[in-house]
Amino acid sequence: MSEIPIVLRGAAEVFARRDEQDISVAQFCADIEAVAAALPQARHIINLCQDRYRFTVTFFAALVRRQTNLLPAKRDIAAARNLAGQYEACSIVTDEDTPGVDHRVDFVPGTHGQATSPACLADQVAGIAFTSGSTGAPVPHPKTWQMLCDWRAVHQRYLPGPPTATRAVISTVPSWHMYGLEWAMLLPTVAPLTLYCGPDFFPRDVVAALSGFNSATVLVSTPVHLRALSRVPAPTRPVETVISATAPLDTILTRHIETHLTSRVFEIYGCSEAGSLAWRSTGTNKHWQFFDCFDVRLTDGEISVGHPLLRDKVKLADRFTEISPGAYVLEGRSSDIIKVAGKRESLTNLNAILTNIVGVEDGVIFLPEAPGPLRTTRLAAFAVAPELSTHDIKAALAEHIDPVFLPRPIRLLSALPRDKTSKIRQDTLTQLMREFDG
Amino acid sequence: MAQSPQQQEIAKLIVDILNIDDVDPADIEPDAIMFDETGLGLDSIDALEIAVAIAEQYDVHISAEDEASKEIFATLGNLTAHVMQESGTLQTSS
Repeated sequence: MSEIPIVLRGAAEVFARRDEQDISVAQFCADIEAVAAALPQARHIINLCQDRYRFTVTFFAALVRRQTNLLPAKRDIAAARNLAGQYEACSIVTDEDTPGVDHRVDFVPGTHGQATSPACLADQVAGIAFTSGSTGAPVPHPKTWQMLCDWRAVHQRYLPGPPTATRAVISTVPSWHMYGLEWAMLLPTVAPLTLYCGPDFFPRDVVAALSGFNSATVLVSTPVHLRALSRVPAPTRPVETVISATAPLDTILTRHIETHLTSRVFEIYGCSEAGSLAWRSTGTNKHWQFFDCFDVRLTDGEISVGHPLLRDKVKLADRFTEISPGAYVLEGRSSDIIKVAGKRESLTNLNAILTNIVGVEDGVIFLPEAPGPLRTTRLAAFAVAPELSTHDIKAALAEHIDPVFLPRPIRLLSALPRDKTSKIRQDTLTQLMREFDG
Repeated sequence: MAQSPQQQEIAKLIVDILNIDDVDPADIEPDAIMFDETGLGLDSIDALEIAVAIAEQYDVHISAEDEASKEIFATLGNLTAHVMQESGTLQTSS
């Protein structure tokens, strides 16, 4: 059975920087071996490590032990325990002193000597990503080690900038999200990138990290974080490459980021089912190009993507037009699917939950126009509910839907402006919201 | 517990920036947990928005390396105390 090494880089190259300490590839591999030896007996692992370096080491350590990493979006201990109950021999591990976990990953990085890269079975399921299904139960999307290795080779080819130059990668995206896992965890196992493993959430920390490397930097981020970064003082050094995903960037924000960070912005399009699929150089070209490893079929605006390693073709939630061979324009989401903070949800589902609340006679949840290019858009709702307050409605919704999809604001009306077919046009909702905001 | 003038100012900033207009700023208890489903139900995107708004308004830049950054965001009282300590210039809304 074929095996593929975890790291395909020189032993002395720098893999990560953490606490101002550089950790070589050989030290990283020794850390993986040491953590693997200490992991509990299990078939599945839920890795709740907070520290980016410890998460990375533990992910690969599980592979060495032929265990599968479960990558749930909900990372609290109750949700993890619930998921663990659905998978055979599943252990929850973390690097913090959290009650209710099965094992604590506790080590000082870079202190286990040096080792050559371990190799893992190609057809082993390395990780399982989850999307929220229409019934609310998470839908699993397994990834074999072979898939992750094929993907990382493709991403290395498409990574903008000089392929052999040593660069640092700073990510505001957690590694347990497929986009972060691909671009800020797997990519440094093949490309000459030093993975920054320090605080990376608050703009101040990201700016400090970007300013702290002598080499060129690559920032792996999202529109939400880029908006925040564009509103605080810039790093002291140019950011060579910005990669963004999870939602499309608009032209104004892209230009602002490119000027503010002295950078070039590239966008990745993907989905949990298949991972990263397409890219564009946002500042110069609004057309998306699918990675050449995928078989892309366009029928009536709907794209399905095939690959020998994907069991089924993946139908995309967005509509595209092919304007010249291989160049696609994203026309927008299939009208039912909305996306907030990287998570997709069906408006039909959300509206059903709203109108099923006792006391809500009619209601609609929708995505309003953005409050401005530098602000994050949330869902909004109109409801007809004479006996309820907006607080009551929000509390009832919160019992059923992910917090990122909770509408704010919720406005109460005496009737909804439905047309003859009982639909409500988006522009009517937008106009009504403007009137409310006065 | 009544809000101090400084807490009133930060409470208004939070409600304005996050568009949670079903919440009266005056109703945010200084010691109530803001980031959970029973409190204001704020999430990490809100934390980012608040951090940027505070940076813009008070030139206070919150870092994960600040001692107990999670504590800073836990309550209105803690957040206000941190901004006052770091800026020294928090104006009252009077």
